[in-house]
Amino acid sequence: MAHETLKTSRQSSEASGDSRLDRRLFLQGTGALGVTLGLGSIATAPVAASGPTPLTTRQRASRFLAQSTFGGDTALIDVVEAVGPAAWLETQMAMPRQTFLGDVLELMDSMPDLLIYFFDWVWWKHVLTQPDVVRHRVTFALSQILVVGRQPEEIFEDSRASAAYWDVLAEHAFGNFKDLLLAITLQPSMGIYLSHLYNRRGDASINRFPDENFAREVMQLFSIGLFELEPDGSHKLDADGDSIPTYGNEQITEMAKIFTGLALDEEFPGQGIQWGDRGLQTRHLPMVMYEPEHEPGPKTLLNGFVVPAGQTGMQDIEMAIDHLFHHPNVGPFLGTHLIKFLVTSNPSPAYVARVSAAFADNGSGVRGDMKAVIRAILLDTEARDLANLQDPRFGKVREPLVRWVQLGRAFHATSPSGEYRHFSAAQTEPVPILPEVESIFMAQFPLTAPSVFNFFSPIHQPTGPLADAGLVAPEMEIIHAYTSIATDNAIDRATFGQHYLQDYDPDNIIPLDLTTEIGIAQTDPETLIDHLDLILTYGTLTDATRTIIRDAILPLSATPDEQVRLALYLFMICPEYAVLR
Amino acid sequence: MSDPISRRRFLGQASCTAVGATSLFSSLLNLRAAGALAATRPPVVSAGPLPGNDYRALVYLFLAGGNDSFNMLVPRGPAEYAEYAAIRGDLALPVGSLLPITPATSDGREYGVHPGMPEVQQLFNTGQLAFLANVGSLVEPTTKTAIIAGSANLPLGLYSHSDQIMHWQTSLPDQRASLGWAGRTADLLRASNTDNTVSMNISLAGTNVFQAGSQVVSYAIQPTGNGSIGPTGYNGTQTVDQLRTAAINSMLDQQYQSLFMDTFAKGKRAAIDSHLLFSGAVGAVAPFTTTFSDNPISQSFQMVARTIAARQTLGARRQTFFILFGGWDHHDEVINAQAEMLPVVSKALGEFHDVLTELGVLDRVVTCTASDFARTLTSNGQGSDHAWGGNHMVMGGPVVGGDIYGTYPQLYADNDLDTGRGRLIPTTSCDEYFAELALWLGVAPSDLATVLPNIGRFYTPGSGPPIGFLGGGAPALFADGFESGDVSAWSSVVG
Repeated sequence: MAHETLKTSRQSSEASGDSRLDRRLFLQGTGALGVTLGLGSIATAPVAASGPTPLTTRQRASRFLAQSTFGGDTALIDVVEAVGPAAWLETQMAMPRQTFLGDVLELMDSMPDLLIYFFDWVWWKHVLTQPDVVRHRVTFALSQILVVGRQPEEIFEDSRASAAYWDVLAEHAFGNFKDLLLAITLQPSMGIYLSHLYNRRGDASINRFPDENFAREVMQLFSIGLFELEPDGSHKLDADGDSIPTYGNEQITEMAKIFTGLALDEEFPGQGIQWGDRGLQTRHLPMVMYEPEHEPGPKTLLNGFVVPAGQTGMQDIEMAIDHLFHHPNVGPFLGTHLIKFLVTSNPSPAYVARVSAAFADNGSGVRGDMKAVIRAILLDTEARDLANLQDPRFGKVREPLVRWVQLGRAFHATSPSGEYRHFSAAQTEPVPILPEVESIFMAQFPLTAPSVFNFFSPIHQPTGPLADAGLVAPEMEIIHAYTSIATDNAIDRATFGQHYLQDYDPDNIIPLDLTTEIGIAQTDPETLIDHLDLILTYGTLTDATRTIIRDAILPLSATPDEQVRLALYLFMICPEYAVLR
Repeated sequence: MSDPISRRRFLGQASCTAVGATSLFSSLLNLRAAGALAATRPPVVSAGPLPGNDYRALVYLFLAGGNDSFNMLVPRGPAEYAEYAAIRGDLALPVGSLLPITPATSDGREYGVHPGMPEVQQLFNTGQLAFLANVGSLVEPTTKTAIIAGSANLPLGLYSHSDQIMHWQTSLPDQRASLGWAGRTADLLRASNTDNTVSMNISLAGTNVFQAGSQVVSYAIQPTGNGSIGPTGYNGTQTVDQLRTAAINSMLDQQYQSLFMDTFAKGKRAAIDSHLLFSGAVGAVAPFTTTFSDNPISQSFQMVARTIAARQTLGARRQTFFILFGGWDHHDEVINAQAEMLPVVSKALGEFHDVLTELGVLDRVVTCTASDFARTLTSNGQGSDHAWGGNHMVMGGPVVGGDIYGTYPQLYADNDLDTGRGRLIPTTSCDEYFAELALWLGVAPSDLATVLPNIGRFYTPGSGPPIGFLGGGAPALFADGFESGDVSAWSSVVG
């Protein structure tokens, strides 16, 4: 891919926060860049500027936050600017984690009848108010790779199950991928979703065979994918130039035998673990092995690897997960996915290879260290190099939910009660339920992908110049004629109206708080544009778009409140904010 | 707090929903794969307007997740039922529950449909609906012997959702292609539509590969309201709305260096322009006397009918519609889940047939089903797993109904089509199925390989009908009479 050849030889210094270099680069800019200084000058440069775009360290901090979190607000930008992205990332990864399950159990004590709603409430509370923002964003990405959808009633009706699933993703987001893979395998939500909960051993006499559902997807979607990969993510090829499948159907039927015998961890007085769900009160606890239903005998997995007969069921599972974890595909497979969620839809092979290397060895000989992978992704030159801002093929479309969370965080959607009630889970069906839901229907909410293949395909190519260039834009699969307008209308309701989060009770509607922005507008509308440009487009708003927004808001100078709402609306819906570079 | 859940649960309630709705495709990107995708994009040149002024529409109902269709169309006579019951074990439907159908062409066996599908039974028995037996993705005709020997050229990712769903939309099972056969069809035929502001390809399920062409982008609508929405305040009279309208127009009309921004802006521009035409046209359609069930599938069919009723205002002579019904991945609870979901399909087909009759366009519209694959004939103790060839329905005035096309397979274990656990090698290829539909829509036999590049491996264009469910006269295209009501709308085309 030509990305490499486009790179300048200049190495980015952003990760180290070297402000001297920043300043020097900045001063090399042309006069047209005055706007990035926040001086309010009106430049006349064409939209398609050439040459590197210099950004201040403050703007770069905002850009780093756009890649590593749900997006910055001024306070976070201050912190990252002060300590530099690399050091800040370490503090984030060291931050203690508050579990979702704990919050759900607390809510359950006071409102047991509303158990179905708590996952959403807790999710919004955490992403809007908690400080471990990198973990939230990485967890959200992982939730779209290791997909569980809450749609099955057995999951949806008990928020503890979803909370526990989110918790294992969040716990291992900064742990080891092997532990993560084992943990999601044993979560009842996954067992319900991909039907390996109560999966029985085969009985050939009645033509019964182990369920293959999880066995297939744990390989295809959660660990190694369909084809043998080079460390740079490209396909290995056989002598005929064809891709090499990682497994065939025989391996799936063998793998299916591994994932038999798992039961809910429910003990009944005097009976121990029983086969078949009874009380369904332990959907938040890892599944346990019920040996009589585990398939006995050896199982031959990939490349002739044999899980021997005579082990316990759980030993079989641990060995199979370890086997998958050590497959050479996992680094490029996982690395490519995460890069695409966080940084760019079409990473260069070299970028993937560097992330694969970090997966293979964190520098201390440890394979699967998620911290090393995340560092490698976010601090890589391809992520940090500002020259990429000029590359029309670099970057990605921001996910609708990522845009939405940043709107709430950056513009202070705060609940006086401390509860963040929202009926988001109800919005994922094809037909919105209530008229008001329609306008906040944005095609993406946590743990509600329509299938195990996530909200969108990693190889989706929208017809047009991206496809013509051989590029993918995964997120565009869910940004179509209906959802693109519905999202804008949700932003309308949040900016011009009060509805940032809402449930069925008008008393629970949570608005944005735009007091700060109104104050800025009263002083100088141009400074308001700079303020929004810093937070939302990290100083990259083009002169042309700046002019469009200025022309729209200046006639409203007599009403700063309206001026702010229109400015924020236009920023949130503009193509330059929709795309992260 | 009122309970909002009942409808939300609709699609997911009965199953694991491992494959549910709009996002269907899998696995991983790498740049080589992306390059390969790009290489599959030959520009398709429009064939120019079709002669005549007839209207034709194809409705493609995708049952995502893999419908266990050997419990939808079931052998019923004593010998064949015994064979069925033996291999299905705890998944066998009771013979007495099956709704009998009598195919016009007998293969010596008796058949019935799932007990939850009385409308389908009636449509079949009145000649409005046909079954296609054991259809699936094939790279080329193949045999069990060749598969065992390892010499067979098989679909990529056989038995996996992501690939099989893709193949049922692209008809290119030897590739990971990003364009669908309806997209390629629309690239060829859209010039017959006098106005392409609203795409020839309309989706009730968001973006999909089926309708993606090299020039054509599908138009995503919803079953609710008038189908489409526009930006709040757009073209409003208040000052702030005038300001926002001007700003939106300016932002969407300017050039962007970033290909992502360019794509995003153009998509939103098209969404707004399409909405302005579409919502007005559909909003002007008089209410139907036919009533539709209150579920997303029936409501989607209703919106398709409203769109068809608005075809003159939209300037459409050819349209395709994509409806997706997810949740058929019944590794678990296949019996109970199908008992809830197949009646939804059956009712929706019955209602759609009724409304097409009401609108007088029964002979203008063909509705057909698609699904990833059928499921293993053997049980996993809770349900069934991914398999291959399956049974499908085609419905409409042009369909020579009341018959089963293709060859309904033997179901006993380890027969010549059984690759294991009752995963059956298809005996009719998707290419043949789609060829019949594409020819009916108006694709010229000489262009068929543009729409279905592998068709020559199964069928010689021009050699008679690929299967025959749309009659022996394919292409019977220009035999149509004028639609009298359409004459004025098409006068410019007819010239």
